Amino acid sequence: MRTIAEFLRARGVDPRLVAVEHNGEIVTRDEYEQRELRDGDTLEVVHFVGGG
Amino acid sequence: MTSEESVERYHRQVLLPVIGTSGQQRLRRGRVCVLGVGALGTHVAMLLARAGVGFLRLVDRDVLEWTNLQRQVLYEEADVEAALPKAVAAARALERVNRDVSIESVVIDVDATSIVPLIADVDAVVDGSDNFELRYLLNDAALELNKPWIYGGAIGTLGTTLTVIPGETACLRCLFPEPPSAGSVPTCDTAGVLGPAAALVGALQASEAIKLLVGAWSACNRTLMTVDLWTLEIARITARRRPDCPACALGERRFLYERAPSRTVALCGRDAVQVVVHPRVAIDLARLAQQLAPLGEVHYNPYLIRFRVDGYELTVFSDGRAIVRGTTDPAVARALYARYIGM
Repeated sequence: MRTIAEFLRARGVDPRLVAVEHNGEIVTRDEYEQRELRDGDTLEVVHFVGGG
Repeated sequence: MTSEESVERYHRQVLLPVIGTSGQQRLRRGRVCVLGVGALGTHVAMLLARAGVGFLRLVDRDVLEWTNLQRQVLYEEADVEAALPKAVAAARALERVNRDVSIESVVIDVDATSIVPLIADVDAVVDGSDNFELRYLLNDAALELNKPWIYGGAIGTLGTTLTVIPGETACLRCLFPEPPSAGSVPTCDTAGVLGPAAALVGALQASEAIKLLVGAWSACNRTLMTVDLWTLEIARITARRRPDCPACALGERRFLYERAPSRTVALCGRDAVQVVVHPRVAIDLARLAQQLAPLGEVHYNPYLIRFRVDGYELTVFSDGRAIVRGTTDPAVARALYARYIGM
Protein backbone atom coordinates (compact mmCIF):
# COMPACT_ATOMS: atom_id res chain seq x y z
CA MET A 1 0.00 0.00 0.00
CA ARG A 2 1.38 3.36 -1.01
CA THR A 3 0.14 6.89 -1.25
CA ILE A 4 0.28 9.12 -4.31
CA ALA A 5 3.02 11.16 -2.62
CA GLU A 6 5.14 8.02 -2.14
CA PHE A 7 4.50 6.95 -5.70
CA LEU A 8 5.70 10.32 -7.02
CA ARG A 9 8.72 10.41 -4.70
CA ALA A 10 9.77 6.91 -5.80
CA ARG A 11 9.88 8.18 -9.37
CA GLY A 12 11.64 11.41 -8.56
CA VAL A 13 8.68 13.50 -9.68
CA ASP A 14 8.25 16.96 -8.16
CA PRO A 15 4.62 17.03 -6.93
CA ARG A 16 4.35 20.74 -7.74
CA LEU A 17 4.93 20.03 -11.42
CA VAL A 18 2.31 17.39 -12.12
CA ALA A 19 -1.45 16.97 -12.19
CA VAL A 20 -2.68 13.58 -10.99
CA GLU A 21 -5.87 11.71 -11.80
CA HIS A 22 -6.70 8.70 -9.62
CA ASN A 23 -9.44 6.38 -10.90
CA GLY A 24 -10.81 9.10 -13.12
CA GLU A 25 -10.82 11.84 -10.49
CA ILE A 26 -8.38 14.73 -10.24
CA VAL A 27 -6.55 14.70 -6.92
CA THR A 28 -5.52 18.05 -5.45
CA ARG A 29 -1.98 18.42 -4.23
CA ASP A 30 -2.88 18.55 -0.51
CA GLU A 31 -4.42 15.06 -0.79
CA TYR A 32 -1.28 13.37 -2.18
CA GLU A 33 -0.01 12.29 1.25
CA GLN A 34 -3.31 10.70 2.28
CA ARG A 35 -4.63 9.18 -0.93
CA GLU A 36 -3.79 5.45 -0.95
CA LEU A 37 -3.23 3.35 -4.04
CA ARG A 38 -4.55 -0.18 -4.43
CA ASP A 39 -3.84 -2.90 -6.98
CA GLY A 40 -5.77 -2.27 -10.16
CA ASP A 41 -6.17 1.49 -9.60
CA THR A 42 -5.67 3.77 -12.57
CA LEU A 43 -3.26 6.65 -12.14
CA GLU A 44 -2.56 9.33 -14.75
CA VAL A 45 0.32 11.71 -14.13
CA VAL A 46 0.58 14.70 -16.44
CA HIS A 47 3.64 16.92 -16.35
CA PHE A 48 3.39 20.70 -16.24
CA VAL A 49 6.05 21.51 -18.77
CA GLY A 50 7.67 24.89 -19.09
CA GLY A 51 9.88 24.97 -22.17
CA GLY A 52 8.73 26.19 -25.49
CA MET B 1 -2.25 34.46 -56.49
CA THR B 2 -4.93 33.37 -58.94
CA SER B 3 -7.94 31.52 -57.67
CA GLU B 4 -6.77 28.47 -59.64
CA GLU B 5 -3.47 28.43 -57.77
CA SER B 6 -5.37 28.86 -54.56
CA VAL B 7 -7.63 25.91 -55.32
CA GLU B 8 -4.60 23.75 -56.08
CA ARG B 9 -2.65 24.90 -53.08
CA TYR B 10 -5.31 23.88 -50.56
CA HIS B 11 -6.73 20.94 -52.51
CA ARG B 12 -5.59 18.19 -50.13
CA GLN B 13 -6.90 20.09 -47.14
CA VAL B 14 -10.25 21.01 -48.70
CA LEU B 15 -10.73 17.31 -49.50
CA LEU B 16 -10.99 16.63 -45.79
CA PRO B 17 -14.61 16.34 -44.72
CA VAL B 18 -13.76 18.21 -41.52
CA ILE B 19 -12.45 21.21 -43.51
CA GLY B 20 -14.12 21.42 -46.92
CA THR B 21 -14.60 24.63 -48.90
CA SER B 22 -16.35 26.44 -46.08
CA GLY B 23 -13.63 25.48 -43.59
CA GLN B 24 -10.98 26.77 -45.98
CA GLN B 25 -12.82 30.09 -46.26
CA ARG B 26 -12.93 30.29 -42.48
CA LEU B 27 -9.18 29.65 -42.29
CA ARG B 28 -8.66 32.44 -44.83
CA ARG B 29 -10.60 34.83 -42.59
CA GLY B 30 -8.92 33.45 -39.46
CA ARG B 31 -6.59 35.47 -37.25
CA VAL B 32 -4.12 33.88 -34.83
CA CYS B 33 -1.55 35.30 -32.44
CA VAL B 34 1.48 33.09 -31.75
CA LEU B 35 3.06 34.22 -28.47
CA GLY B 36 6.66 33.11 -28.73
CA VAL B 37 8.24 31.76 -31.91
CA GLY B 38 10.75 29.30 -30.52
CA ALA B 39 10.45 25.57 -31.09
CA LEU B 40 6.69 25.33 -30.54
CA GLY B 41 5.86 28.65 -32.16
CA THR B 42 7.83 28.08 -35.36
CA HIS B 43 6.11 24.74 -35.94
CA VAL B 44 2.70 26.25 -35.23
CA ALA B 45 3.28 29.31 -37.41
CA MET B 46 4.60 27.21 -40.29
CA LEU B 47 1.65 24.80 -40.20
CA LEU B 48 -0.91 27.60 -39.96
CA ALA B 49 0.70 29.61 -42.76
CA ARG B 50 0.73 26.56 -45.02
CA ALA B 51 -2.89 25.84 -44.08
CA GLY B 52 -3.85 29.31 -45.34
CA VAL B 53 -4.74 31.09 -42.10
CA GLY B 54 -5.26 34.70 -43.20
CA PHE B 55 -3.46 36.59 -40.46
CA LEU B 56 -0.65 35.61 -38.12
CA ARG B 57 0.81 37.87 -35.45
CA LEU B 58 4.20 36.55 -34.33
CA VAL B 59 5.45 37.89 -31.01
CA ASP B 60 8.87 37.19 -29.52
CA ARG B 61 11.39 39.09 -27.41
CA ASP B 62 14.48 37.12 -28.38
CA VAL B 63 17.28 37.42 -30.91
CA LEU B 64 18.40 34.26 -32.70
CA GLU B 65 21.22 32.17 -31.27
CA TRP B 66 23.01 29.08 -32.51
CA THR B 67 21.30 26.94 -29.86
CA ASN B 68 17.95 27.64 -31.54
CA LEU B 69 18.68 25.93 -34.86
CA GLN B 70 18.45 22.38 -33.46
CA ARG B 71 14.64 22.60 -33.21
CA GLN B 72 13.26 25.97 -34.34
CA VAL B 73 12.36 25.11 -37.88
CA LEU B 74 11.91 28.50 -39.54
CA TYR B 75 15.46 29.72 -38.95
CA GLU B 76 18.68 29.44 -40.90
CA GLU B 77 22.35 29.96 -40.13
CA ALA B 78 22.34 33.33 -41.92
CA ASP B 79 19.57 34.57 -39.60
CA VAL B 80 21.75 33.83 -36.57
CA GLU B 81 24.75 35.51 -38.16
CA ALA B 82 22.65 38.59 -38.92
CA ALA B 83 21.43 38.67 -35.26
CA LEU B 84 17.82 38.88 -36.40
CA PRO B 85 14.99 38.96 -33.88
CA LYS B 86 13.06 35.69 -34.06
CA ALA B 87 9.76 37.39 -34.93
CA VAL B 88 11.39 39.12 -37.91
CA ALA B 89 13.20 36.03 -39.22
CA ALA B 90 10.05 33.91 -38.84
CA ALA B 91 7.97 36.41 -40.80
CA ARG B 92 10.57 36.47 -43.59
CA ALA B 93 10.57 32.69 -43.84
CA LEU B 94 6.78 32.47 -43.90
CA GLU B 95 6.42 35.14 -46.56
CA ARG B 96 8.33 32.80 -48.87
CA VAL B 97 6.01 29.93 -47.90
CA ASN B 98 2.63 31.55 -48.52
CA ARG B 99 2.00 35.06 -49.86
CA ASP B 100 -1.73 34.72 -49.04
CA VAL B 101 -0.94 35.13 -45.38
CA SER B 102 -0.64 38.51 -43.77
CA ILE B 103 2.08 38.40 -41.12
CA GLU B 104 2.82 40.90 -38.40
CA SER B 105 5.99 40.56 -36.33
CA VAL B 106 6.22 42.15 -32.92
CA VAL B 107 9.58 42.26 -31.10
CA ILE B 108 8.67 42.94 -27.49
CA ASP B 109 8.72 41.30 -24.09
CA VAL B 110 5.03 40.66 -23.49
CA ASP B 111 3.82 41.82 -20.10
CA ALA B 112 0.62 42.97 -18.43
CA THR B 113 0.86 46.36 -20.11
CA SER B 114 1.18 45.00 -23.64
CA ILE B 115 -0.75 41.73 -23.89
CA VAL B 116 -4.29 42.99 -24.39
CA PRO B 117 -3.91 44.64 -27.83
CA LEU B 118 -1.83 41.67 -29.02
CA ILE B 119 -4.71 39.23 -28.54
CA ALA B 120 -7.84 41.41 -28.65
CA ASP B 121 -8.29 41.22 -32.43
CA VAL B 122 -7.53 37.53 -33.07
CA ASP B 123 -9.67 34.40 -33.01
CA ALA B 124 -7.21 32.24 -31.09
CA VAL B 125 -3.89 32.53 -29.27
CA VAL B 126 -1.20 29.87 -29.35
CA ASP B 127 1.22 29.68 -26.44
CA GLY B 128 4.74 29.34 -27.78
CA SER B 129 6.33 30.83 -24.69
CA ASP B 130 9.12 29.35 -22.64
CA ASN B 131 8.00 30.48 -19.19
CA PHE B 132 5.11 30.20 -16.75
CA GLU B 133 4.95 33.92 -16.03
CA LEU B 134 3.70 34.58 -19.54
CA ARG B 135 1.33 31.60 -19.52
CA TYR B 136 -0.46 32.76 -16.36
CA LEU B 137 -0.65 36.26 -17.79
CA LEU B 138 -2.09 34.85 -21.02
CA ASN B 139 -4.60 32.74 -19.08
CA ASP B 140 -5.86 35.89 -17.32
CA ALA B 141 -5.95 38.02 -20.45
CA ALA B 142 -7.64 35.30 -22.52
CA LEU B 143 -10.35 34.82 -19.88
CA GLU B 144 -10.85 38.59 -19.67
CA LEU B 145 -11.19 38.94 -23.46
CA ASN B 146 -12.96 35.61 -23.97
CA LYS B 147 -10.28 34.28 -26.36
CA PRO B 148 -9.52 30.59 -26.74
CA TRP B 149 -5.87 29.74 -26.26
CA ILE B 150 -3.73 26.64 -26.52
CA TYR B 151 -1.11 25.87 -23.90
CA GLY B 152 1.94 23.94 -25.03
CA GLY B 153 5.20 23.00 -23.37
CA ALA B 154 8.14 20.77 -24.24
CA ILE B 155 11.14 19.82 -22.16
CA GLY B 156 13.46 16.83 -22.29
CA THR B 157 11.52 14.17 -24.17
CA LEU B 158 8.15 15.33 -22.79
CA GLY B 159 5.47 17.42 -24.39
CA THR B 160 2.24 18.70 -22.81
CA THR B 161 -0.77 20.57 -24.18
CA LEU B 162 -4.18 21.88 -23.10
CA THR B 163 -6.81 23.83 -25.01
CA VAL B 164 -8.62 26.53 -23.03
CA ILE B 165 -11.98 27.82 -24.26
CA PRO B 166 -13.15 30.46 -21.76
CA GLY B 167 -16.54 29.69 -20.23
CA GLU B 168 -16.52 26.21 -21.70
CA THR B 169 -13.42 24.26 -20.69
CA ALA B 170 -11.06 24.19 -17.75
CA CYS B 171 -8.53 27.01 -17.68
CA LEU B 172 -4.87 26.70 -16.73
CA ARG B 173 -5.59 27.58 -13.10
CA CYS B 174 -8.33 24.92 -12.80
CA LEU B 175 -5.48 22.42 -13.13
CA PHE B 176 -2.54 24.35 -11.70
CA PRO B 177 -3.94 27.10 -9.43
CA GLU B 178 -0.52 28.67 -8.83
CA PRO B 179 2.52 28.90 -11.09
CA PRO B 180 5.57 26.87 -10.04
CA SER B 181 7.96 29.02 -8.07
CA ALA B 182 10.82 30.54 -10.05
CA GLY B 183 13.83 28.26 -10.20
CA SER B 184 11.81 25.12 -9.36
CA VAL B 185 11.23 24.16 -12.97
CA PRO B 186 13.67 22.81 -15.51
CA THR B 187 13.98 24.93 -18.65
CA CYS B 188 15.18 24.03 -22.13
CA ASP B 189 18.41 25.86 -21.29
CA THR B 190 19.08 23.68 -18.25
CA ALA B 191 17.43 20.34 -19.08
CA GLY B 192 17.59 20.20 -22.87
CA VAL B 193 14.79 19.32 -25.26
CA LEU B 194 14.31 16.75 -27.99
CA GLY B 195 13.35 18.53 -31.22
CA PRO B 196 10.56 16.05 -32.07
CA ALA B 197 8.94 16.63 -28.64
CA ALA B 198 8.49 20.28 -29.53
CA ALA B 199 7.43 19.37 -33.07
CA LEU B 200 4.73 17.04 -31.75
CA VAL B 201 3.33 19.62 -29.36
CA GLY B 202 3.49 22.31 -32.06
CA ALA B 203 1.54 20.04 -34.41
CA LEU B 204 -1.09 19.39 -31.73
CA GLN B 205 -1.40 23.11 -31.04
CA ALA B 206 -1.71 23.91 -34.76
CA SER B 207 -4.45 21.33 -35.27
CA GLU B 208 -6.32 22.70 -32.23
CA ALA B 209 -6.06 26.20 -33.72
CA ILE B 210 -7.41 24.92 -37.04
CA LYS B 211 -10.37 23.31 -35.24
CA LEU B 212 -11.09 26.57 -33.43
CA LEU B 213 -10.90 28.58 -36.67
CA VAL B 214 -13.22 26.30 -38.65
CA GLY B 215 -15.70 26.25 -35.76
CA ALA B 216 -15.16 22.61 -34.78
CA TRP B 217 -14.91 23.50 -31.10
CA SER B 218 -16.51 20.24 -29.99
CA ALA B 219 -13.58 18.37 -31.55
CA CYS B 220 -11.03 20.28 -29.45
CA ASN B 221 -8.83 18.60 -26.89
CA ARG B 222 -10.61 18.58 -23.52
CA THR B 223 -7.76 16.97 -21.67
CA LEU B 224 -4.43 17.89 -20.21
CA MET B 225 -2.17 15.60 -22.17
CA THR B 226 1.49 14.61 -21.80
CA VAL B 227 3.44 12.50 -24.26
CA ASP B 228 6.91 11.14 -23.55
CA LEU B 229 8.44 10.59 -26.97
CA TRP B 230 11.16 8.36 -25.58
CA THR B 231 9.05 5.88 -23.60
CA LEU B 232 5.97 6.48 -25.80
CA GLU B 233 3.84 6.86 -22.68
CA ILE B 234 0.79 9.05 -23.08
CA ALA B 235 -1.08 10.39 -20.05
CA ARG B 236 -4.35 12.29 -20.32
CA ILE B 237 -6.43 13.87 -17.62
CA THR B 238 -9.94 15.07 -18.28
CA ALA B 239 -9.72 18.81 -17.72
CA ARG B 240 -12.84 19.65 -15.71
CA ARG B 241 -13.65 23.18 -14.66
CA ARG B 242 -13.14 23.72 -10.96
CA PRO B 243 -16.09 25.44 -9.31
CA ASP B 244 -13.58 27.19 -7.02
CA CYS B 245 -11.05 28.10 -9.73
CA PRO B 246 -9.66 31.49 -8.72
CA ALA B 247 -9.49 32.67 -12.33
CA CYS B 248 -12.32 31.28 -14.45
CA ALA B 249 -14.86 30.73 -11.66
CA LEU B 250 -14.08 33.51 -9.18
CA GLY B 251 -12.82 36.08 -11.68
CA GLU B 252 -9.42 36.84 -10.17
CA ARG B 253 -7.04 38.44 -12.69
CA ARG B 254 -3.99 38.82 -10.50
CA PHE B 255 -1.45 38.24 -13.26
CA LEU B 256 -3.07 40.79 -15.54
CA TYR B 257 -3.76 43.53 -13.01
CA GLU B 258 -1.57 43.11 -9.95
CA ARG B 259 1.89 42.57 -11.30
CA ALA B 260 4.32 45.45 -11.37
CA PRO B 261 5.33 45.49 -15.03
CA SER B 262 8.70 47.13 -14.62
CA ARG B 263 11.41 44.66 -13.90
CA THR B 264 14.98 43.63 -14.34
CA VAL B 265 15.24 39.87 -14.37
CA ALA B 266 17.92 37.26 -14.75
CA LEU B 267 17.12 35.07 -17.74
CA CYS B 268 17.07 31.49 -16.59
CA GLY B 269 20.09 29.41 -17.51
CA ARG B 270 21.54 32.01 -19.84
CA ASP B 271 24.15 34.06 -17.98
CA ALA B 272 22.12 37.10 -18.97
CA VAL B 273 19.83 39.69 -17.47
CA GLN B 274 16.95 41.47 -19.16
CA VAL B 275 16.41 45.14 -18.40
CA VAL B 276 13.00 46.61 -19.15
CA VAL B 277 12.18 50.30 -18.87
CA HIS B 278 8.71 51.69 -18.27
CA PRO B 279 7.17 53.54 -19.82
CA ARG B 280 8.64 52.30 -23.08
CA VAL B 281 10.92 54.67 -24.92
CA ALA B 282 11.78 55.05 -28.58
CA ILE B 283 15.53 54.75 -29.04
CA ASP B 284 17.17 56.02 -32.21
CA LEU B 285 19.35 52.96 -32.84
CA ALA B 286 21.51 54.58 -35.52
CA ARG B 287 22.38 57.48 -33.25
CA LEU B 288 23.06 55.27 -30.24
CA ALA B 289 25.29 53.05 -32.39
CA GLN B 290 27.32 56.12 -33.34
CA GLN B 291 27.69 57.15 -29.71
CA LEU B 292 28.79 53.68 -28.64
CA ALA B 293 31.19 53.04 -31.52
CA PRO B 294 34.24 54.67 -29.84
CA LEU B 295 33.64 52.71 -26.61
CA GLY B 296 33.51 49.12 -27.81
CA GLU B 297 32.49 46.77 -30.59
CA VAL B 298 29.14 47.73 -32.13
CA HIS B 299 26.92 45.88 -34.61
CA TYR B 300 23.47 47.02 -35.51
CA ASN B 301 20.57 46.19 -37.79
CA PRO B 302 17.15 47.87 -38.08
CA TYR B 303 15.90 46.04 -34.99
CA LEU B 304 18.68 46.13 -32.43
CA ILE B 305 22.17 47.14 -31.43
CA ARG B 306 24.72 44.64 -30.16
CA PHE B 307 27.44 46.28 -28.13
CA ARG B 308 30.42 44.45 -26.59
CA VAL B 309 32.47 46.05 -23.86
CA ASP B 310 34.58 44.76 -20.91
CA GLY B 311 33.46 41.15 -21.44
CA TYR B 312 29.75 42.07 -21.46
CA GLU B 313 27.41 42.07 -24.41
CA LEU B 314 24.44 44.43 -24.45
CA THR B 315 21.64 43.85 -26.95
CA VAL B 316 19.44 46.94 -27.08
CA PHE B 317 16.04 47.11 -28.79
CA SER B 318 14.33 50.24 -30.04
CA ASP B 319 11.73 50.15 -27.24
CA GLY B 320 14.49 50.48 -24.65
CA ARG B 321 14.59 46.86 -23.60
CA ALA B 322 18.05 45.34 -23.29
CA ILE B 323 19.58 41.93 -22.69
CA VAL B 324 22.87 42.11 -20.83
CA ARG B 325 24.97 39.02 -21.29
CA GLY B 326 27.92 38.10 -19.12
CA THR B 327 26.23 38.54 -15.74
CA THR B 328 23.33 37.13 -13.75
CA ASP B 329 23.35 40.06 -11.33
CA PRO B 330 20.49 42.51 -12.02
CA ALA B 331 22.40 45.33 -10.31
CA VAL B 332 25.39 44.90 -12.64
CA ALA B 333 23.02 44.85 -15.64
CA ARG B 334 21.26 48.02 -14.53
CA ALA B 335 24.59 49.75 -13.95
CA LEU B 336 25.83 48.86 -17.45
CA TYR B 337 22.51 49.99 -18.90
CA ALA B 338 22.72 53.29 -17.03
CA ARG B 339 26.30 53.88 -18.14
CA TYR B 340 25.95 53.12 -21.84
CA ILE B 341 22.29 53.61 -22.73
CA GLY B 342 21.02 55.80 -19.93
CA MET B 343 17.98 55.27 -17.74
